[in-house]
Amino acid sequence: MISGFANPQRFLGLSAWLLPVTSLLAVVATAIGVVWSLWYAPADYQQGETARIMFIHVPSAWIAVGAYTGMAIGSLSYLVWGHALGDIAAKVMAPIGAAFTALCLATGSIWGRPTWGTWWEWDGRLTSVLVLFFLYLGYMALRSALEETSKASKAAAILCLVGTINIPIIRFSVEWWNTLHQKASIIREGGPSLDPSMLHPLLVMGVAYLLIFAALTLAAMRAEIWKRSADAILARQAA
Amino acid sequence: MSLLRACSAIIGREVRLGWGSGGGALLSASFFAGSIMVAPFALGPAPDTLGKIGPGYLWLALTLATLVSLERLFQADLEDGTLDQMLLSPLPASVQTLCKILGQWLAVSLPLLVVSPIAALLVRVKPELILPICLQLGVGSLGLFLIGAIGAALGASVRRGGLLVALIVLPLYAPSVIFGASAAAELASGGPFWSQAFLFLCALVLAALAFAPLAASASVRLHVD
Repeated sequence: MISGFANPQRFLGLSAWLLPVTSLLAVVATAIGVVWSLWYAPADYQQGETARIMFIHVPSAWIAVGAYTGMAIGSLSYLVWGHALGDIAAKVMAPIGAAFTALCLATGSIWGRPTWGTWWEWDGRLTSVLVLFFLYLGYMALRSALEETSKASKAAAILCLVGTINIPIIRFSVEWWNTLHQKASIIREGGPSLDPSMLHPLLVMGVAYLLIFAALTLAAMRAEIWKRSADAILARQAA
Repeated sequence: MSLLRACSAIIGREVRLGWGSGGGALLSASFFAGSIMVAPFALGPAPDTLGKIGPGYLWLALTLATLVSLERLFQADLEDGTLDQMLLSPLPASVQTLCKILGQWLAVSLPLLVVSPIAALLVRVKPELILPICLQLGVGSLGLFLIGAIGAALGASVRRGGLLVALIVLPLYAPSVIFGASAAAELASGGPFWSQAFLFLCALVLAALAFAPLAASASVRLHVD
């Protein structure tokens, strides 16, 4: 089934209508999520209005980790089964994921100022997101340093998988080292500790971010497929 | 038997090349010492400041010195075709890579470890802690070398790839540096040699010993065609 979708031509056909649909849904979900979370959701009883940055911050952290997971799946399918589409997906997800990671770091820092009293704290979860950001940077740097496409793809895929194995170790070590960040409050034993009046808009924002991410990825993948076929045509003409 | 002979031949070759003229095995030890010299300039020579950060600074210097020596790990052998020849042999590529890493580690890290007690003295580590901290540095340097080898292999065919390799490897170094420096800090505050942090570091080094050669040899193969 997966190999059926791995055909770039079929992907182009499928994404031709999937891309506008996701883009439209992303706009709708973002509009609902932003209005709900910034106007209608209640302010936090301790942190007041500043807690609203959560609705921007938390979903970007989800996407930051999710994009890397997506890259890992794409890299694995490229290395093991040679699916070019997996490689293309991993390549285009890297800058998008890095952007969401940067957004997560920036909003976390802005949120930290009023609540923890500092712009930056070397706390476990903040630090592991910072390390993740550098993993993205290294991946993109390696990719752009190797000129030959197939070599760059394979090297980048190996690096992505090495990073994937390391992420749990990095997280564990960093949290063992220093922890100030609040504990996970949504996915935990006994159900979410967040009140539904805040949880629901947060989930809508999460869906909105996911749709934005999906739309950007689809558009970038289409562009990359066209770029590669254009390169192939140019190479054939030169030969 | 022939496996052991082949392995020791590769290790011996790396050590001889490193110690031969232009091998540069001493470069990384000198760099390590030099970065120790800069520490008091930047942080002030006050004995109590240096004594507090000394053990951690040794780990910082070790990390930087390892990063500097990574670029040489595969590049020269890739350029003159040695790697192509080696990969033709029946010895598994991952075993060859492991031997190469071990050989380079011996050539580069032993001088560094010989220098490290003096470096520790200079940054005002208490004399009775110097030996245990330097032993831990030695264990850690093997782990840093193994993990760094993956990055070095990935960037082997990139011209002047040293900075690229450093950027790739730095995030992967986070756990080793955390556990190593924490183990040193624990020693400094009167803790045991086999602290939790040091045991974690040992576990990391063992895991790297098993997995890093696989990833590094797969990466080296990309550049050999």
